[in-house]
Amino acid sequence: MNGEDLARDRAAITGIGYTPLSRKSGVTVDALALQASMGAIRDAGLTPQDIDGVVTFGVGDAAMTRSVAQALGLDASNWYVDLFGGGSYSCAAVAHAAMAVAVGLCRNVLVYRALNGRSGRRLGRVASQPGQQTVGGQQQFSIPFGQLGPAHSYGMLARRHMIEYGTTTEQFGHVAVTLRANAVKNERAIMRAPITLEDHRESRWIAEPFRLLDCCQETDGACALVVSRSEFAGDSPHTPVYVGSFALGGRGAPALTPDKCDDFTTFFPAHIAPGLYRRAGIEVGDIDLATLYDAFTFLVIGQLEDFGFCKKGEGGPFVADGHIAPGGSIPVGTNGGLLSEGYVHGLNNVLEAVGQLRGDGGKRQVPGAEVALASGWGANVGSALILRR
Amino acid sequence: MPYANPLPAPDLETQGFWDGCREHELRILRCEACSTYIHQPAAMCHACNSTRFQWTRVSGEGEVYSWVVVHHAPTAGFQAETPYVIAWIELAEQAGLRVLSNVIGCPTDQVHVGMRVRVDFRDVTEDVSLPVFRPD
Repeated sequence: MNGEDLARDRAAITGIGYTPLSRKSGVTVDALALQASMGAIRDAGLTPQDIDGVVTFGVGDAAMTRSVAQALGLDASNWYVDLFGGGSYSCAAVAHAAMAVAVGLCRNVLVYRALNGRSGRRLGRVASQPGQQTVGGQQQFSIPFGQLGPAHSYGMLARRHMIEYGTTTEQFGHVAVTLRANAVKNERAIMRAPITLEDHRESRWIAEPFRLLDCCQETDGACALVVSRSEFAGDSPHTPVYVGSFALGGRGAPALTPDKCDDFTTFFPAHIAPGLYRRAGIEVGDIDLATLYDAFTFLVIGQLEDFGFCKKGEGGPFVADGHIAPGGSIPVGTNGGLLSEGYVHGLNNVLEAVGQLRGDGGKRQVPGAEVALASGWGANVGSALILRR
Repeated sequence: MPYANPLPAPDLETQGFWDGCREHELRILRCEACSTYIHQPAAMCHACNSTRFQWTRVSGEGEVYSWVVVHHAPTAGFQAETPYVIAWIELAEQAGLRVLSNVIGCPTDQVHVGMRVRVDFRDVTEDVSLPVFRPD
């Protein structure tokens, strides 16, 4: 292994916490962060004084680690990380915590993401602050042409996949319908009314080829988890969930401005999955469930291919054949995902994987789940975790 | 009525592109060492790591590589223009050389992959012209 497995199972997720998910929290982002964080710390059987590292991520809309640490009354912290980034960092935040405990820097690291993503700053509108008259940087080549948000830029990738592989919008619909059916069984989910392929087909265009039901929720809420050094994970009242491996990587230009990207239909998992599996000592067939970052339905199809669950170009037929539904070859989005549970910028999907591996999935439990994959999408750059019980 | 949508803010690396547009010429940064065209503009050639470039006028001919028909835009200015087409145009000069722009001058449902298009310029203010593409 040449030392590649140095970090394997050295960190474990020992606590998880949520706020309610809503469209209008009525409280500040800091209040959400603190509520979820206290939930995770208590869930781990710890107190704030046991936490010695704090990690979060966001795009200028998050609670800062130092203010959360101060408000929690931490004695001292050895490691603060405020990552600037979106979905591609949802698993990277956990990876930072896992590294901090694996090298002995920290014993218990708090990871959270909090946002008023509907009532406050909406991600789909990041490109359109009121009064904004000029745009610089890379956005000077996109916003003046009306490419304003993720639906527009990722729609471009979905279209290209349709061109190259014959993928259809009806296949996108299978992802929406499957994940909604999962959300029906999830009391935390925002969208719990079942939908059909016809509902999908009749929902309005947002950015063709994406319809309304291809787009995730915009959500107020927070999630948190505690990452502990494995030696102490046995102190947790819950089954520890070990971090088998992690990655943040990819290849090529940034996701929203892929001018220099030579390939629109190969995404980050193609570059990081082989090492991710090797370092965890698993093969793709060992994975029992996948909580793939699903800001849009198509993202699931692209990731299924590039994580190796099916051949390149066959993701559309794969989801239509029921492989991602409960009982299928690789259940995806058992919580309903970002599409239907809610959008805590992907961290809620990581927590779902933890809950499943603990065996706490309730009506949506994947029987005998031992290994899970979670991911954070950024088109050709992204992050992922292998978790195991 | 004044133009309602955000305008580009050129910088040291991009000024030549927008200067060209104002003069109704599509100019792309070209590496002096290996002749590779680079877009978006960058400080270094990704093909050979040279830092010497020249702005070079290109033909303005290209093909639609991918596109989205925007029906919902989060600003009033762009919402007023819906439905509109944003597209990646692959320029004739070099495989993989693509610019993001709009396809105008045809119904949105006529846009297709490989569609041949040619640059045109939309004078949105006295100082700013945006490169757009029309069926060729």
